[in-house]
Amino acid sequence: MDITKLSAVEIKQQIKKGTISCVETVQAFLNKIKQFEKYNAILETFDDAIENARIMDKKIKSGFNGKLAGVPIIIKDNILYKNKLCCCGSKFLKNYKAEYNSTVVNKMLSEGAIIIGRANMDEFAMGSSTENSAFGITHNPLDFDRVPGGSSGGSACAVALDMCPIALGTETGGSVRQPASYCGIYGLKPSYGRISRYGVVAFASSLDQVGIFSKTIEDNALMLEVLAGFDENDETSSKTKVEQYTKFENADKLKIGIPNEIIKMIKGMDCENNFFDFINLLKKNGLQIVPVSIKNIELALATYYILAPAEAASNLARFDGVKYTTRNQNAKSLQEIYKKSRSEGFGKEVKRRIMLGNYVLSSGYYDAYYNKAKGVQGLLIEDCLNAFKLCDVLIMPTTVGEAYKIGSKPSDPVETYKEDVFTVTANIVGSPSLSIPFGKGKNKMPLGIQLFGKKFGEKNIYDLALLVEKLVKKEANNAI
Amino acid sequence: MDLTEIKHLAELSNLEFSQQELQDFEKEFTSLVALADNIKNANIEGKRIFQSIELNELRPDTIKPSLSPTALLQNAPVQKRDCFVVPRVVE
Repeated sequence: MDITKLSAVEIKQQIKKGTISCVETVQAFLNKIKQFEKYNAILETFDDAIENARIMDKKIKSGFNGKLAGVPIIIKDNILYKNKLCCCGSKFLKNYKAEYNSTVVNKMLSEGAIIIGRANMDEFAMGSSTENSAFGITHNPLDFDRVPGGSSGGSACAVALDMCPIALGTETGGSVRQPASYCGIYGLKPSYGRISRYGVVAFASSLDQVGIFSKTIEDNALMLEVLAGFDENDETSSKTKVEQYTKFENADKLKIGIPNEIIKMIKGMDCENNFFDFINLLKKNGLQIVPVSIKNIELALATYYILAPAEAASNLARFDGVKYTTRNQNAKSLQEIYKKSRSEGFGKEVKRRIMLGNYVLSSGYYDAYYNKAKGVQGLLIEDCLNAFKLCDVLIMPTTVGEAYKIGSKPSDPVETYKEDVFTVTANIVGSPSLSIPFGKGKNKMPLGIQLFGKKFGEKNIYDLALLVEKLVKKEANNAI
Repeated sequence: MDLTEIKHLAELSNLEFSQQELQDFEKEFTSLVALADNIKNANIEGKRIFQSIELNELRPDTIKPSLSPTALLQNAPVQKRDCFVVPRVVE
């Protein structure tokens, strides 16, 4: 049996039955990480992983039955795990060790997970290709010359190459869904407030969420069940009831909404035909499709690239050369410490977004950009509320097309930002959205479809995703 | 967007750039601002909604264990007697 091919749910069952041990399991995944080292998905595997697995084996023998008992997990490099390095893909934090555990780490550990390593990412989660890490580029698991997407590219690549069954990433504007799509796996951005961000390094606090990568729907739902819920250490976390996502229900009565504007936007894009294939699959199987409108969706990208940099500029002010590991040695005054430490510690994209953020917040521009963008956020929230009066789940492509070649984007940053056109809306309105693998692009690379739900409507999304998985399998069998 | 404005932004951002980098920014900002300008004509009358959801609720005012200064200072580049050290500021 190749343990690394198993899902988290299967691993748990096998361990419980005694067919495999936690130590064997962790070792198998560590070997996989070693085997695929050249993809540069993993920045570090943790020394204590095997020892923790040994402890877990004993605990399970004495009756422990956690939801993730013995399941190896990889976390993105911006999630704090006590006494481990957490560098956010940045030179600035290359020696930074977490002083405490994030809530998500605590929750996983208490359910018996073994955290085996941390994954590469775009610096401070700014980027959509994992080409912006201070620790090198991560490669696409299916084509070494292409990007895995980003910013959580390391986590996505790790899951796709069987280095772990589930990995955590983070999302501000698509950083889980887009790499999930490029790597052919599932990636969830939960509702704003569904998962605590305590101990997750902030990028844009009104948009950030922890996200989940997996190879199966069941694993994704299982992990959300573990992570979701109110946390007194994160006042933006919600008290809305956590549903039993792993108790799947029939989804064939759900109404599926297709935004008219999306149909117009995808004209001529690589994702166009694939999206229509998806709609046809649903129609053919009797699902009810309704046209809806999100009339301001074309403003979402601009809105995002105002709000996110504005918040990033403020959040990243904490990296000042005083508190977090890096200080320029030649700086003489306090002002020089700030400037020189930041200038040598941050990479190009991070500096660009800080500059843009301070521009939209600066006097004379604040009303025209930041305030206006907050207003458009209101319009988009209203649009979505109206759309959800007519349907239960919206669908749209995850990305414009398939994963592109490393280094192929032009020097104009806006060309790269346009990749986020379909993902940012979920972050702006706080909705959950799951990217599911569906179809292939012209170079046979995977594409993804988003199932975009009402706020705290993760249950509907998972139910629908499981149904789609069945329909796709049925189609494939019919084709043989 | 001209070079003077870019330099002002760098100042606000506490960042230093070479002459070449400043000139690159001048070019990039043209397209970044063009992207942001897409929302210029949106009618947002009365639409400013904050995303933050439920009402902030303070926890009971009871003392709970928290991190020690030693733990919190473990990442400080320079520290002394449980404090961050910075150059003397006299103005």
